Amino acid sequence: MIEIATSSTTTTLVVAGDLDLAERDQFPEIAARVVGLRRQLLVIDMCRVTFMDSTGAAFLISLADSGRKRGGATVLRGADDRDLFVLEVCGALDLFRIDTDHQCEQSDPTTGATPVQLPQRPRPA
Amino acid sequence: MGRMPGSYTGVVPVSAAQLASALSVTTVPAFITGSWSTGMPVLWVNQAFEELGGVGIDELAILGPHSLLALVQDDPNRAAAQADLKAGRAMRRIVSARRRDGGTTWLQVDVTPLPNGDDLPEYWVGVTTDVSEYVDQQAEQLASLEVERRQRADLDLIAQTTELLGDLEYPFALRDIADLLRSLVPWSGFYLNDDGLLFAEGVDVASPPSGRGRRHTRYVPEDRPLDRLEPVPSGADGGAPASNPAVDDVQDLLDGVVDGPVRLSLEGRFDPTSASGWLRRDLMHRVVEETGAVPHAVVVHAVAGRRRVLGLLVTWHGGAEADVQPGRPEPDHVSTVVEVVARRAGTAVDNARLYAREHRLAEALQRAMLPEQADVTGLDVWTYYAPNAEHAQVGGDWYDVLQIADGTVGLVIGDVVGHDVEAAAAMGQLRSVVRAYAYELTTPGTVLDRVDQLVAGMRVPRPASMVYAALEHLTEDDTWALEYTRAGHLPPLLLRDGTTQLLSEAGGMLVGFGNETRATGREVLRRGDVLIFYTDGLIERRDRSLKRGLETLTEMSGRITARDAAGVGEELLSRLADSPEDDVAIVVVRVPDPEADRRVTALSPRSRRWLLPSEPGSIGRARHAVLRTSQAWGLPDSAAAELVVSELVANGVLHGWGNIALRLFDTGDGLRIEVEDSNPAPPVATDGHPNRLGGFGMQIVERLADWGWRPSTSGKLVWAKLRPDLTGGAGQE
Repeated sequence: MIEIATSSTTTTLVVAGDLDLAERDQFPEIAARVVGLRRQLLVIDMCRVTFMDSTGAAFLISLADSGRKRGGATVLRGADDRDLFVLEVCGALDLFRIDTDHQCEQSDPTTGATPVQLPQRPRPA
Repeated sequence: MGRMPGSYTGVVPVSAAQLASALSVTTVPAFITGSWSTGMPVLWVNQAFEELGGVGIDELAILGPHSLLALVQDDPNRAAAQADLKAGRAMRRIVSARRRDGGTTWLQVDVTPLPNGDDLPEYWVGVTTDVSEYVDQQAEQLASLEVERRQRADLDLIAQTTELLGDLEYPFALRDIADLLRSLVPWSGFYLNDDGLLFAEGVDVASPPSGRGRRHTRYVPEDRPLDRLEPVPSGADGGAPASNPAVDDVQDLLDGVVDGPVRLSLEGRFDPTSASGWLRRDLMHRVVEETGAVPHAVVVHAVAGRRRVLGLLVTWHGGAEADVQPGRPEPDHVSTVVEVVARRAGTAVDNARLYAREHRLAEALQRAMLPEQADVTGLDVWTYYAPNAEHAQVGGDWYDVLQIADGTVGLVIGDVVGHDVEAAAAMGQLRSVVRAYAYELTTPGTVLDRVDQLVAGMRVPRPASMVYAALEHLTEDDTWALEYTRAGHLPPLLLRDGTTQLLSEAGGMLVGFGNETRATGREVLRRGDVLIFYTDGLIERRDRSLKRGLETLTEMSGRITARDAAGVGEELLSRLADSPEDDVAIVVVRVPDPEADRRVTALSPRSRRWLLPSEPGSIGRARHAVLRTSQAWGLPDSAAAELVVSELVANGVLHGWGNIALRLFDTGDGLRIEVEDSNPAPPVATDGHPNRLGGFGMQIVERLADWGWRPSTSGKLVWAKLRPDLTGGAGQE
């Protein structure tokens, strides 16, 4: 599932679940909408991405590339080591600013309860 | 003949007078001239020279300085020879001269200076030799060599074209062929007619073999500056020959009315919506843009498929096209090559599109018929389906795993007699019927009653057997209530604590033949219990009876030690389905036993297999399978394995055909992943097709694993063995 949020300067893309071939059908429309918003900064939130392969990477790359062509920047936050590895193999790490400080913790918005550590996916050793 | 100044009298035993007369009567044409600075006047010629040139010394004198040149018709390297003469060096050149009878003769002329101390020579003696025969021969040889070379080049071009046409999936196949042709003509290009002409760099194999329609104006781009080149209609007639707007040669070619090639004058005036008009406009832009020259006329060949003309191959022959006549439009060999290329392209495009269409159709139908496995919560389910038919991916066996409601699961296994296309079609119908009732009514006996009623009226052409079972989760004691009914099908197995029980209650006639109310058998499943549904292909062999096969199955099952459904299935297959003679379908359902599973390490073989339909959803299932298996085998680094399997299966879904078989092995030295599909073509690496999405997939695999591929019986098998030393590979920068 991919959600788009926007402010005057920033488009934020919150991705959840798997980012692979099975999701490819929705990529063109999302890319078109992101481009149409014409914000200088695109933030891609990967905290809740469970898996990304080269197809998903190609989608992120196309977003970052069209942003760069307009002089904008793309920030990647919450990407785990494996996601970065995939982007690196695709030769695309330079297209992104990697937000390493971002903490993938979220408070439950409905109850306002204390931040809950979401189940973390296994990371490569 | 006077005395020759400068001759060496007394040096030779022949007198000077004798020498002079010898020179004058020899049959070799010879002459003597003065110095270069005085214009090399001819001072003396012998008789043979007079006969050869048809002029005497007197006539030559009249011609003034350099009079010999007047005799020369053609002199291929005059400048070099003149430099020699100026410097006083001997020179030899081959010139052509008019013969007396008006013909042309090739002469080798040797001019040698008479020694004159250190000064420039004052006299030259010249000898000419008739070398016409030699020159002609050489010219012929050169000409025949040229013809040969050209033929070889043409053949080579056609061979290269054929190679390019072999892979029409490559998006620039037609552009590359046109580029090849441009070694013969200044410009060439392909157009395809898919309800309107369009310039084509490649073939969209996804579009049907068309060639129909004439809505050429669909593809008219916005006005471009070069549209000014549109000829201005002049009041007086006498315009270009093709200026009659009613004439549309190109459309005639597309319609197959004429065979072509046709010559299209670009100075003519056409209806802008006609094929000729559209093509004229498009060509003006393209040729001007790409060559900088304004074309006047082009030659258009039909790119013909089996039934109709699919497109056009347009060639522009440069400035020489003014000479091109409609009847004989271009030099022979160019015309032949272009025609051959056009014909081959037509056949290839037609084949590629027809094949793609058939393939899409077969794939879609097969996919619609293949069994599906829903992921059901709370149960470990493994399914297997192997049609035995060599050429079809579907047979008469089927299974279904249905999540009917939260905590309710339906299981179907069935077998339509035969394993041909008709059996598959009957299976498809039955499957839908069973599904429909399964969602409505949960009690298996009732479901099968209704199926009987409906099938009796449907005239399904083949008898079929099946088992339908429903599982309901009982939360109070975490057990599953099993209800089942059988229609002429072998009894499912229940494995519990090392014992095997045949669920042989609730038997009945084949589907559609039940004239009695169907019965329902009941059982309660506990943690660790395993249910096995199967079709007779698993146990049926020609060399043993079904009863004996069932005994073998029961006995085998008692020895199964695996503690996951995939492992149970693997043990079954490795011991029973060694050489299946019929379709095989198996469903294994295991109620997980979290506590015991953690304690006990199974001794079952460390290999697993899954058969997945070729659809994007299978990629996630394959990852899930790898994850589960890695956990069951206690393998580290499932993250890299997940990535590798995802890329391999995605490739199979994108480029492969038919089902995808996934196999996992624990080599003791890292996980080995095998992905098999029915497309014999090697895996797509990142070469040559840069615009294909996901071209980095194999690079990812390469970074994490050793990999390779080999042809398999029905297609190809791509394998990857994860490098154990690269466990930290993921995430390295």
